[in-house]
Amino acid sequence: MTSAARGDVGGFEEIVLRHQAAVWRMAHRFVGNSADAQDITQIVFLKLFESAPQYRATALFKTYLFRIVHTTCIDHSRKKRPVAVADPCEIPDDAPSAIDAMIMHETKNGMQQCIETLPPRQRSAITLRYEAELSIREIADILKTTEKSVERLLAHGRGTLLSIVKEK
Amino acid sequence: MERYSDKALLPKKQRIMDAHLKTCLECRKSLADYTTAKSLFSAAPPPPAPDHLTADIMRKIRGAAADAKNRNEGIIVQWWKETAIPVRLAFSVVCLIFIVAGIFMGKDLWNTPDSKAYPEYTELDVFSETQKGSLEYGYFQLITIPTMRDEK
Repeated sequence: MTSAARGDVGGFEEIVLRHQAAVWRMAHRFVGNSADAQDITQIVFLKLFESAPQYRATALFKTYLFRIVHTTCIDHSRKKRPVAVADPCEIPDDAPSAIDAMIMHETKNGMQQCIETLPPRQRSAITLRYEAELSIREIADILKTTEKSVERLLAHGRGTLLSIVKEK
Repeated sequence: MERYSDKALLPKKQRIMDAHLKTCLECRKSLADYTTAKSLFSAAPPPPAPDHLTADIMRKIRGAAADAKNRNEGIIVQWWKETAIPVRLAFSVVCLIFIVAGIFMGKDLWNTPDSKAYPEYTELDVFSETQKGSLEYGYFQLITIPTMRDEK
């Protein structure tokens, strides 16, 4: 980040390569489609690059990065209502058979639709917890709240998520 | 429960939770929900990022870096870089002509009154050495002497 603050694009590319998969996964979980996830990932790294001169290594870099992801996802959800559209191109190429692919596709769609029904903060908490696998302390730092509050968000989000999945 | 699942509790508290889970149905259910949610996420991972994503990101970053650089350099440096070499050369020559002309035209103003060249002005050279930095002396050099020359 120090080199990025000096405008070193080559140094910043290393950061992009190291963290883009995690940012992509989080963004995709949040919005549920590749086009928006791609936009969000690009905006996140652009914000990260532009904020590099102000960056102070007082917190974990991961927490700093995911705070940007969280705010960008929330901004996105305010601007655009989520559209739960199945994207058949998103079935992995290495799917063993057509039936397995269909089951996986159903699970994925069902799961994604459930996530999209959650309020934005619950969605962020759930995604940060289960997709990014962050600790409660880290999530509390990102959402700028207490650990107790994060536990409540997760409990509510998980309850809603599992009840919808069970209904399906 | 979350921290228990993370094994982030102190060993003593972890053991207490182990014992508690054996007797508390509600906590066992909560733990089961946690495990189920985790397995649901890992069962349906998001698709991999497209191959061109890094290139797209870096294109935007390079654009932002170039914009920032231009903002820092200022409008003159930016214009200089974007202008063709012949125009730059012509601009440099014009600037040089103005500088040289300025030096020649202004050299009389910088000279102090010379009593040998203009002996008739010696009676006006009433300023002492210590007064030569004053405003009045400057006025005398710039206005009074040229006016007298013109009158002559």
